[in-house]
Amino acid sequence: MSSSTPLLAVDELSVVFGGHGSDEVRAVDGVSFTLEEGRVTGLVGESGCGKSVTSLALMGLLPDRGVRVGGSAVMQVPGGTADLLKLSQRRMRDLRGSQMAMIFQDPLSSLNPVVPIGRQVTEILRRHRGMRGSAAAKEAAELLDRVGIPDPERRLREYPHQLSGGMRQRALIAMAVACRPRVMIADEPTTALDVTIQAQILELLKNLVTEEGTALLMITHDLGVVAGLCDDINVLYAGRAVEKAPRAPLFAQPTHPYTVGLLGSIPRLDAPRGEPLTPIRGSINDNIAWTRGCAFAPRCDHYTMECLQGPPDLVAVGAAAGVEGGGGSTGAAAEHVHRCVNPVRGADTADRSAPESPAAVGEDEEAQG
Amino acid sequence: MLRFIVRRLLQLIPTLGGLSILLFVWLQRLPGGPEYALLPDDATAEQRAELRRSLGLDEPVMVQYLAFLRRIAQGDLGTSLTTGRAVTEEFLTRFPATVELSVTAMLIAVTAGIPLGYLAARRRGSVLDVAAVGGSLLGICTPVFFLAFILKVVFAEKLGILPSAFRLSPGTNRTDLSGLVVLDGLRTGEFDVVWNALLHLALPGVALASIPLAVIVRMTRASVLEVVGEDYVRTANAKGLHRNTVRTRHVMRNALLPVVTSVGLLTGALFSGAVLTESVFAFPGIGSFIYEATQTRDYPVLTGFILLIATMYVFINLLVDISYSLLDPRVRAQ
Ligand SMILES: Nc1ncnc2c1ncn2[C@@H]1O[C@H](COP(=O)(O)OP(=O)(O)OP(=O)(O)O)[C@@H](O)[C@H]1O
Ligand code: SF4
Ligand SMILES: [Mg+2]
Repeated sequence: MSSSTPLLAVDELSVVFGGHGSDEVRAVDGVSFTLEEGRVTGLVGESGCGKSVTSLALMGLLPDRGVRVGGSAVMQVPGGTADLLKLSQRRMRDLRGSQMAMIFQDPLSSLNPVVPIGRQVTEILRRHRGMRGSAAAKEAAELLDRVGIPDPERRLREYPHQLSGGMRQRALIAMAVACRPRVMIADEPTTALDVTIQAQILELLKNLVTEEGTALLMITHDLGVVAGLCDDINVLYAGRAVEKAPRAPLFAQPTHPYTVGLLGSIPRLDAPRGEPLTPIRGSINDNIAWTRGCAFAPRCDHYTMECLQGPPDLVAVGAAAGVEGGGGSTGAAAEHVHRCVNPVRGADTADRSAPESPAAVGEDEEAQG
Repeated sequence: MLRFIVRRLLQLIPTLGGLSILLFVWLQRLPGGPEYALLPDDATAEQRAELRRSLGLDEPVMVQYLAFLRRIAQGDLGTSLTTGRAVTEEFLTRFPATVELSVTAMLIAVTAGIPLGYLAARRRGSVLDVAAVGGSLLGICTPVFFLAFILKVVFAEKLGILPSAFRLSPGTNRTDLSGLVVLDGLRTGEFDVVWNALLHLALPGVALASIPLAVIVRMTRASVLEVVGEDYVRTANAKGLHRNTVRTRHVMRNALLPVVTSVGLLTGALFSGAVLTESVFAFPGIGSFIYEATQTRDYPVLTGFILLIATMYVFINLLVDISYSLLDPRVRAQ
């Protein structure tokens, strides 16, 4: 599937908030990925790494003022291709909801509290498919049924506060799929939900992707959530991709210390009870500017002086990683790339997968203290 | 819903009870009395004492209050000391004028205040926004009495473009149906009367609108600023809905909820403003009559009118709360 032209090709996307010199925040800094039909692409990283800003930039939903967006996002639209970042507001309104849709994190606050669910579904049918009256109501009921909401006719008349959290998210998914968009973005769609409901919602999204051939961009801070869902995964740190790979190699052989850390902080079902998780020490605020070196360095156990000599490049795993001009991604063969001068090798990975080892645990506790 | 309404109406009893006690105490404390306002300056002390006795004002306050309660229980609010007519009758003949004036003021405040507040919010920091915020602060601070006076001097006396007193020009003939001049004129087709009445409503209407207008501008602005940042507005935009659909169905429907509540509360400000506005413009409503009654110490009129106004206030807020619950399904559920 990856050989076909992607539905959406994001290239060197950057988003800068605030205008002047040092005040500016580079929320997204040269992120590239592609979305393909029937595939799920994951965008993973801690809070504040630029995941939501990336998705809002693609949807054209960033604030009008005080933002600079760079790069390109070329999407297949009816009658050709279009760069989403350069389209007029008007054209974007036509595409949003019909060609591309988004599902947000908090289903309660994402629904209008004073408008019945039915109206919130039919308004998008009317906008993009010209459906009105009973035809729209019938289609809305079918959509709710499709996303697994029981008794849809009754639910259409109800208001958001009358639905459970899971049902609200299903209703939002119904609105998102109402016009069969080719690209769908889900920004942490399960964070606000119970664990069992989380699994159901992920299952629903997965089925929609398989049945409709939609391309899904799945945003999450939790690698565990995406383990079963994403085909390709991009790990972001401080606005840049630090590692990207198809699911299997990423989980089997993560090479970037940050990815390794994220995997280490996933609760393991086979871990003994009371086993402490091994979160990455520090917080995302403890970073340095990418222009000076690896932003992850202050939190990295692997860093050397070399890491602070300019930003590391995104290179194929196995290739010699240089700093500044090291060559970038080496073409189509480079399915698994990372941005690190001292990547984690097999032996270190084994350390991660065996956190029971007393030495490893002791080390982590020290690191946290 | 019915239980809610009944509960609210039952709350009227303690409210009015408390208010009537306050009124009695306050009137007792007020210097002077009807014996000075009603009798000529050269009346003797005996004559004044005699009048007080005949009005029952020499009795202890407690006795007077109980007598008052007994009369109220029979639906009798007493008789005006100055006109000799029943207080309820005086109220009913003057009430339509005040209703007309208050509704005019509220319409001005709502139709100007909501769009202004919305625009100020959407163009935050613009000249319009600064002017709206500054102007509304000024509107809240300026005493209604003072504003009414300025308007009268400028537009009626200096420029002479608007009438300065009464509801209609002297000598206007009209068919009276309800006492509401504008409405009656529209029903009978006497459009010259309607126009005449509207001209007379202009200045007092604007003066009385100042405080509600200022409050509504500020509330709408704050509320819109809050709502445009809500997730559901982002969802509406993510669905590609037209700008106008987002603006009306998603932003304004939510932003207006607190404004609706404030409209109910503002009727209080409206009634108290009416007292002064009506006296400045010699507008024959309950406000100017209350003002006169204060001057003449017409106790039955003062107590009766104020209690009736308080009742109206409670009813209006009940209506506002009911309409609010129709607008907000989350409240309806409770
Ligand atoms: N409107 C804005 N103005 C200025 N800075 C912003 C704005 N929106 C986001 N940012 C900044 O952009 C950075 C990335 O934010 P973003 O919301 O994309 O993070 P995220 O990865 O989605 O995190 P989370 O997991 O908390 O949702 C943050 O540092 C944030 O402070
Ligand atoms: S470049 Fe250096 S500091 Fe950055 S992740 Fe790799 S080893 Fe750590
Ligand atoms: Mg986010």
